[in-house]
Amino acid sequence: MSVGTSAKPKYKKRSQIAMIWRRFIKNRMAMIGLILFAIMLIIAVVSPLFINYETDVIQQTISERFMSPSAEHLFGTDQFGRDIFSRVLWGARISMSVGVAVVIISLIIGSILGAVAGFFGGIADNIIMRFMDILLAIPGTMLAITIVAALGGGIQNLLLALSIEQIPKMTRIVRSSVLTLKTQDYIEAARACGTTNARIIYRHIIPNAIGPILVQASLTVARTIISVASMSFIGLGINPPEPEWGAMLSEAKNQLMNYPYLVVAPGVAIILTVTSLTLVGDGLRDALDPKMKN
Amino acid sequence: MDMPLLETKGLKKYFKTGRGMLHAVDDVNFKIFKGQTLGVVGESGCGKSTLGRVMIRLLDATEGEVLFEGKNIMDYDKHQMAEMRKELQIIFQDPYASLNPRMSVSEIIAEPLKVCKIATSKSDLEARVFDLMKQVGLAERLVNAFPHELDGGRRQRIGVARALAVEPKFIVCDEPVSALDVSIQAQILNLLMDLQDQLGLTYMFITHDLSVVKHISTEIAVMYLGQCVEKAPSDELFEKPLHPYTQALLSAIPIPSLKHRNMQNVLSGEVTSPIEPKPGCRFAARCPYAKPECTGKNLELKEVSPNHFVSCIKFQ
Repeated sequence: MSVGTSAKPKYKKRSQIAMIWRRFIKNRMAMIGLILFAIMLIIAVVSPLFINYETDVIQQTISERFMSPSAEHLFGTDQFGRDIFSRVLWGARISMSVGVAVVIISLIIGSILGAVAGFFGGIADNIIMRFMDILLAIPGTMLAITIVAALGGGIQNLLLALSIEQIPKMTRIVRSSVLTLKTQDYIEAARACGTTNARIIYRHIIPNAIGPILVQASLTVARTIISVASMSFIGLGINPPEPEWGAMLSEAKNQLMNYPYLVVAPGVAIILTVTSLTLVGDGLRDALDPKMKN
Repeated sequence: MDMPLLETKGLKKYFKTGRGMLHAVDDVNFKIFKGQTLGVVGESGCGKSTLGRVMIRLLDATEGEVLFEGKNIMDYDKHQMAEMRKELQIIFQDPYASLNPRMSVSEIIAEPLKVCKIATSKSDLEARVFDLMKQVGLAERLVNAFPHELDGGRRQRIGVARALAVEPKFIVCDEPVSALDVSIQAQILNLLMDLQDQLGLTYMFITHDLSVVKHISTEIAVMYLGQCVEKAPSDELFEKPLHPYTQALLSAIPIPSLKHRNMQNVLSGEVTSPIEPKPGCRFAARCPYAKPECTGKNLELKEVSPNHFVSCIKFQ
């Protein structure tokens, strides 16, 4: 802003998103995380262009078992002679889509439940939160295992199980931010000029609550990817021959002593994805704070 | 005499707590006339802020009436109340918490104009925002600033502009200067008084700072534990305080003089609990003149001289 200009200052909308972005790109670790995650995402999206699912990912070629990393097979081949490089790349599609799907489901349901509980309070709050407490009382992995065991395997039941695990966490975050915001004076000022509940939620609550929710969402993707991998590792997640990272680790564990390179690629893929998302989440937390300097 | 702009009759606001009903405001009656300022003083937790919020119906009263221009706004339905909101506004104590950190100055001031559909077009909205900023002494260049980029005084000016946006007749000032530096306090007080002269506003000025209230009020009400214990024109209250609590409050005003040493009339003890208070004078437990008759029976506010009301057994 220039001081002392004679022209009338322009009445313009300063975009919050642009300001948040400016703060975000100044955070080196967050940018590393974002670039890493973007690469993962691009790989997940474009891998079908140069990898053939039938011939590269699931076709077994017994003559090429346990080949060490080479120019032809960057990460070597597994016990069925499948190219690990292709499988890891394809695995990004599965992990990303499950992670994102779980976040979307738990975000929608958790936000609605949390907002209702926090904003209206009273009986609604009690019913919703006691139900969430019941879900939270059961260890997350246990809950997921129980649901999958009861309903059977498959990607749909896995999505359901992991979403149910995440919904209570999301609900609590949304509720607590709504609760603190609700008693702010600016909400009362809005009421004093007759602002409707809908407008208060849309103009005041959502813009201020979005920060912690976005942070939680990015961390939830990371957690979900780990959950999918661990569920697959114990055989309750994505079934073979799908190249899920956790399932690949599980298959490789028997050969760990003889062919240790089998675990490197899927293991590193999980670590990179989760780390990148955690860095993005931390960066978002700082960038979304309106009191941070530009 | 004219009809008061605002009048409360037997106004009560109780809150339910685990240990019983908390009597935040208990049977408060007063009249505020157009263009005047009623100062409300009392220590923390005596129900001043609750009273302010009930007056403009941000909270519903447990019992009693608030008459605005003769009509009880507690009976108004949603639509009538929506119209009423334009007449009654509030300025908050904390200029940090009272402004949405995600909205710019212009958005904050424009919000009530949009909500109450006062501005007819985009250019009208813009012109009104600049007018309001000028009115409260905010430089035009700050139009796109965010609250956290401004100091406390400027922030409080935004709060004033937001309250003025809907062209209200009555404004509750809930300790509007107690979070500010002393030098800034005077600026905001002068702004409020100038606006009162220009726009014919009526204030209810809530504060715990007696020197501030003397400066701005036409009439002062002293509150103790939800009740009004004394009410008098500003000058008279400072010259002739009758209630022991008022006397104690006034003697606690610091006097900047080396010779002045004796702090007479210092109150001992704590404020008694506002939850389910016993009948009788609520100040009796701390009152240096308390007698056995003080407890057991509720006291009335009694007019001891013209416009000077006090609720104390000495004057019943």
